[in-house]
Amino acid sequence: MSSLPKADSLVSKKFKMPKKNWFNAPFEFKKGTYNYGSNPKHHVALDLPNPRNWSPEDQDWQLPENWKEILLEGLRERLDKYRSLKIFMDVCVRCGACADKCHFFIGSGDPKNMPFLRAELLRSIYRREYTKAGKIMGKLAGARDLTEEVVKEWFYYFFQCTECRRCSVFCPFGIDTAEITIIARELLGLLGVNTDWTLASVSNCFRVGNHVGIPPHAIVDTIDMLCDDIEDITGVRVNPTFNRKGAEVLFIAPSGDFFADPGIYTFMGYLMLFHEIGLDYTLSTYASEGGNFGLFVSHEMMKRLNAKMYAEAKRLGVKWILGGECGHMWRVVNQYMDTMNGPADFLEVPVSPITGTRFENTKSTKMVHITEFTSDLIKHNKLKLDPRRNDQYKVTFHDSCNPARAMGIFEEPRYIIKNVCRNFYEMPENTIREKTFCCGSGSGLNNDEFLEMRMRGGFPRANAVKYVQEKHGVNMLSCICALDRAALPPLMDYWVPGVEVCGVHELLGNALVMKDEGDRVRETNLRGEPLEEVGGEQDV
Amino acid sequence: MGRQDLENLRGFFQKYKASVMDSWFESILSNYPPEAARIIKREKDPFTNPVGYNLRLGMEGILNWFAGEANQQDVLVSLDKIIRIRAVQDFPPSQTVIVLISFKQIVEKQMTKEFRNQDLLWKNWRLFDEEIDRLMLEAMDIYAECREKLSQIKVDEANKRVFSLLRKANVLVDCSEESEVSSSCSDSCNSCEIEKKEGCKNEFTS
Repeated sequence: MSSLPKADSLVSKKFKMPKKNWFNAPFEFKKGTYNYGSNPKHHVALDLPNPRNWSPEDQDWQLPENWKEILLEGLRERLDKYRSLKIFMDVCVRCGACADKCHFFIGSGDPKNMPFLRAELLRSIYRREYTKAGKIMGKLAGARDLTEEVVKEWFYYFFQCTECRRCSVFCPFGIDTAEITIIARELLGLLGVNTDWTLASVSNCFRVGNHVGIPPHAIVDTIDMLCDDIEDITGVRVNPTFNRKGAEVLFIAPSGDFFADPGIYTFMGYLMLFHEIGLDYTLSTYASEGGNFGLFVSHEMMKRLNAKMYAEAKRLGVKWILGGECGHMWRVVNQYMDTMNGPADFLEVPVSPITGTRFENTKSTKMVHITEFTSDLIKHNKLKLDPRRNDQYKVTFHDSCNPARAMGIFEEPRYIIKNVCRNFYEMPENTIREKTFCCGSGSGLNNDEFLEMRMRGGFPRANAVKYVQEKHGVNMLSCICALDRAALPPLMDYWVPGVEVCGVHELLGNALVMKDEGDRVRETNLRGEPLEEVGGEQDV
Repeated sequence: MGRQDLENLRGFFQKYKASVMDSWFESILSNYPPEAARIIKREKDPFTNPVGYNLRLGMEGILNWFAGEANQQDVLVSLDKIIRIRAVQDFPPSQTVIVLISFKQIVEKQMTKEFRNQDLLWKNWRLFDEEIDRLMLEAMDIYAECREKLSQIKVDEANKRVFSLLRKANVLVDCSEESEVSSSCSDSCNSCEIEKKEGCKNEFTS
């Protein structure tokens, strides 16, 4: 008993934070806050350097002998290649506007998660190696030497950034911290320092076609099962085709939508919609993944995975591509694809076969976001909807970071929701639209080993959901990203029990009155939950 | 303990609520790096500073309860606000619940000043001490529940991620109707027709 500390000693000063400058503050790889190191088999599959078994907790990371040279040469090359990086390295005046805008900082209180300090981790090396002031004055000019500890610190903190770009909205210089994270991760990748979760997904996607690594026949079987569910619920048999040459449209969704709960209900919504409007579309078992985890590894990897979708569109001879409710797929398509793999000249500018709307905004990428497509259908009165079928839900909408900040998709999903639901409530203004808070699990951080950090990072979003739950009784959080649909349920489970998560097209599927349903009255929604008595005819 | 004693204690907390709150908040802030503590203290917007806002809300709730302005259920909700945040932050278990010990020490100082009469001091302290110990036990329960929730989330996540495939492979069991399944089936559960029902955790079955 004598070894037990006294209560007094537990609250003594020794637990107070050290007064050290953040620059020298130590960090530790604690379980729950870092990602596992990459498995060598994925390095081999993707032709990446330095395959080995390693863990971030190891003292020796088994870096290549000339690691410093590789890293500095890599940085020099990227400074020459990306003018934006050079500007971002030089222009920050550390005004602090971004300081409290990062969800990871807000949730954890770790100063190195303030976006400008996270960027300083890279800037300090840039100054030391590439600026006169840094070379001469060293620490006084905010410069420091590149050591293995710095590499470890980069790995820790640049994989505590979800590349959500909320901080960049508030930066007076428009510094895109996500771009800095992307470069830092790319540099780490040159040394063979990657995370296992990301690399496994990329490897699966590159070799098999989707993040989970599901082969074609299992994809067909799985989707067939969802068609059975639709038939049970609506009495209508939908018959999607796979790899069909000559279809007008290639539809690509994130694979989470046909494998994961609750994404599958969103996928059922897509299939029901396409059946109802008679869209001439096909799915692909080769381009069976909209998501692009390559974005979290390097520009090269992002390009490789993105190219797959366009190669398949070319092979099948479709006119244009329709994309599902995905997050970073859209960031890659909207911000990088055109100069990376585009322009997609072999496709036609997308025109809705139902409304005749020409999607001029996709003139170069030839890829239309499904909420743009569906809201256009609703606007032209092409769908029969019964919003009462969603009456059991009090819905709010989480602007998924990438479609919101990288595309400006704000109104389309809201327009759909307002047409398919009767109870919709917005979260507070400073937590939605371009100021939306990340789910805390984006950019390849949605793994189990990172759970505590995800809960911290997701707290600002959950806090806003809790507000509308308490004020309006909200019980459904809708979103347009598969990662959100995977990451938000556990977040809600921990912080705001009683709130479920869905895609916008699940709500649409519930409300959609299909011609082939005839007089049949639906008894359940897509989740198999009994529909509340709505009174009178359902098909208004 | 008589009614009058309880009134005394409530009166004490009504009188010193604000000053105890300030000292207590400062002591909690000292657990965070100074750069973060400044922001947690300064920023008043509940959505910009959810940690500071919810910690304050929880602390106010506990103080209100001691001041006789909140009921038993409310104080647990308030305690939950504090512990739930700290259970996922960078603290060992002891440091998660230490907020109540800090509170106790701050109250002790204030009470010693307030009640010069030793008998009165002892009566009030004993009443407070009993309650704060009880809250401490509640805090441990909440902490354990939070950590268990995280473990459950990991299991659920693993299953949900490939839900369709598990269903396709017939390796899901509907736990809400377990007895029905087992009574209607002579083989193992894997060969039963299984549907996802409300309340099912999608757990693997052997």
